[in-house]
Amino acid sequence: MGSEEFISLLHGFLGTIVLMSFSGVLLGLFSLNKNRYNILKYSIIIMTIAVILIDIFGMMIYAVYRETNADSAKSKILASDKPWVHEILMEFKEFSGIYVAIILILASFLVIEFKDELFKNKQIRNTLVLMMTLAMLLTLITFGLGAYITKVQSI
Amino acid sequence: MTKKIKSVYVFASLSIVGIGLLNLLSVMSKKIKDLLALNKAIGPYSGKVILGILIGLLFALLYYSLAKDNKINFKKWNIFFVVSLLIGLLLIFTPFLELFE
Repeated sequence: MGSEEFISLLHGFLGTIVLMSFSGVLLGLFSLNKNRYNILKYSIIIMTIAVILIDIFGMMIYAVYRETNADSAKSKILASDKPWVHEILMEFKEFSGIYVAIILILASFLVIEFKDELFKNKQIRNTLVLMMTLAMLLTLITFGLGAYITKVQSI
Repeated sequence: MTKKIKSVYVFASLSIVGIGLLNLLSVMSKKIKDLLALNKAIGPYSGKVILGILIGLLFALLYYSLAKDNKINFKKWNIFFVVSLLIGLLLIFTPFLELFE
């Protein structure tokens, strides 16, 4: 297994960690039980770190994807009958993953700063639900685009 | 405490808009696109992400040093964040960017 394949594998594996941590966030957020605060806190922190690592590994894979030679995935996609896969989908995916990390950083700060109020104040809880909904919607779009681009042309 | 959270809102919102705006600028000007290529391997993408996040950080620090620690109006800040996110998403959507080419 080459280093590029290993990084791709880690990139995908961390995606699984994100989804697993999300279930911890859901449990902590909707159980309304103060004793589950730690589950919520650690789940959201793990989720944020995993997304940041996915973005970093994604950049490393992107370097291989966009190599200037004719054999690179980007060159092959642009030369195919589906150049829009790069021009629209990949261009969008590059940044949407970064946006997810930024949203999760904000959500993590909310959880850490409002520890006691989180289970009492409905406004803070609703804000967190909003952030998690936005983060998960963008995550699913980014995962979906990644799967489709890989199906059209793997690196 | 609320000052810290408001600063994180500023960081998140302006980082997203900053990344989007740098993406728009790179479409509008080849010179800016070349300047944004801080890393040769990943090209202008590196500059857009790093500088976009730095823009957010800079404004967040500025806000933190100037703002008062009064009560936070979540509704107002959430609207500010969601609007920023929508602008950020529009600025990375190629069919929209083609209007400026």
